[in-house]
Amino acid sequence: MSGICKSRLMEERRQWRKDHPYGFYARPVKNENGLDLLTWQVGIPGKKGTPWENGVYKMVMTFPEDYPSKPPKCKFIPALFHPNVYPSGTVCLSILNEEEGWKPAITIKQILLGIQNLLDEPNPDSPAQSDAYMLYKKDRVAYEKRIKQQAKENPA
Amino acid sequence: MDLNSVVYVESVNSNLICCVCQTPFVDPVVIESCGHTFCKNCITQALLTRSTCPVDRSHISSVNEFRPAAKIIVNMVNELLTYCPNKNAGCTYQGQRQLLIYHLKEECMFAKLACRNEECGEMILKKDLSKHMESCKARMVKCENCEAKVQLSTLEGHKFTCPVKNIECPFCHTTRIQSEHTLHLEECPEKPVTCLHVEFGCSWEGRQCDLSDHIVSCSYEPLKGFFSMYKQRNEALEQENQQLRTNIQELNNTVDLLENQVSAMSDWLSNFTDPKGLSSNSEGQHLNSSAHDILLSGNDHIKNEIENLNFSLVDIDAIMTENMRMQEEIQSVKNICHGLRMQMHYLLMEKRGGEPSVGTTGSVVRTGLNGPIGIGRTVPPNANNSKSGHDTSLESNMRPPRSLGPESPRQEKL
Repeated sequence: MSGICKSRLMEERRQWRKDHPYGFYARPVKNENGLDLLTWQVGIPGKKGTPWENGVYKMVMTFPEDYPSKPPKCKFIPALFHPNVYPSGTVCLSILNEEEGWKPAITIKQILLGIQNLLDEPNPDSPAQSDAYMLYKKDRVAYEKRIKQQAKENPA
Repeated sequence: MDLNSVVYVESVNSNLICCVCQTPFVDPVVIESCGHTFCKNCITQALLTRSTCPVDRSHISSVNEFRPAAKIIVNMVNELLTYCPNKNAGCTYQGQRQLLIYHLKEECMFAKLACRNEECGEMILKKDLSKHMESCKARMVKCENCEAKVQLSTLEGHKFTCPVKNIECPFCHTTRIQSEHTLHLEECPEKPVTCLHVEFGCSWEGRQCDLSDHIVSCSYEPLKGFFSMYKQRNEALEQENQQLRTNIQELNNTVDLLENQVSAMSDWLSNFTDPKGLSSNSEGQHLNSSAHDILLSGNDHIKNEIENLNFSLVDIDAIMTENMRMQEEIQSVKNICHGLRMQMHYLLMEKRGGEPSVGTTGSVVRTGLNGPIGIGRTVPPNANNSKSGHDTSLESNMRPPRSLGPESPRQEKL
């Protein structure tokens, strides 16, 4: 782990502990040596007034050794029913793509808020799984019902 | 040390935060093309992966596009207040970030230092280091035999290989290490000793190992109780004697002191000449008879002197009267002289034919005329007067009257 990666993640953790948006959580996992700063467990709440509300969607963030030059990998566990989430659970988002929107200036808080936005505002231009995408395109009512069902399965 | 991981006392303005490491800038640089500021280290690392600005993803062609950030930015981040990185260990230091390295190197008592003994390798807080060095198992100690520095843990082994371990006993000619040598010197059986009762007169001398045998047969042994009793008594007497000597010495000193005082006092009293003053002096009563004698004899002496002085005074009176008479006589003689001088002058004038010259003789004549009032003149001035009258008329014609002034005081003095 490079010096910048470690100090950046420690600083991110410090900032998060100092202040973070309501309903979210984010913490490095514990391993035998203490904290594994490269792997974080996070929870993203669904926005109020959307079918996603009352659910908190668990995700694992994995940081590469050359973070923040390269973006972290964000993966919902279990995989999420969402047009922009790959069947593996990995989130497809421009700001998380090294070739597209990632830049070192983006903080963990910004990523999590970005993913929260993405939940109710899927990007139909870059579908990542056919099930959710097809249902979203064909039958919005059924889609929302499915989402609400998913929210119940992921209680706060 | 890594300045990116220090903890700041106050929250830092977000404009001073590097977006790569999310901490206040360390050694900040600016990218020329887009104007964004980063830590030098952060932007260098970021550009290894991708040559875009970490904030706006604009293309950066080369590392040469950096320039150091403005001085004010550098100062602002250098002066941010930080805690000491050893805060958790107990250091309460707060100070500017630029002083932190000095603090850690020189001041911080909670910095961890490696024990200076290589074998030990423990990390010790600086404040505890000196204490640790005293008790460290791997510290170096000095071998008391060969003076070499030896690690404490190997000291025991060193004793067997120490080059100067063998010191020969001068009595029994065996050898041993230094530390045991002094003890052995006391105990060596071959050491020459005298009988324990040597002070009471036993003349036995021999080896230490034979001493116990001798004691059994020593004729002083049965009497040792008696001897020791007398020795004690003797010592007590000596001590008492010493005490008495000091007492005598002190008393002698006191007597000397008193004698000095008495003689000083009598010297002082002998200055008094008035016997009344002496008798009225209550302290005088306490003086001994010798002082009285001295006073009385001094008194007689003074009386004699006063008498002598009285005689002298009478003599002086007579001489004074005599003197007065002599003075008067001298004065009258002086007047006679004067008259004669005038007569002579007159005669001289006549001889020249009535043309007197202006000169010193003329002034002398005048003085005679102007100062006829002698103090003790006894000679009748008749003879002089007839001539001086003549002289007066002559002189008053010849001389201006004001020139007479300066001469008259001389006459008065005479």
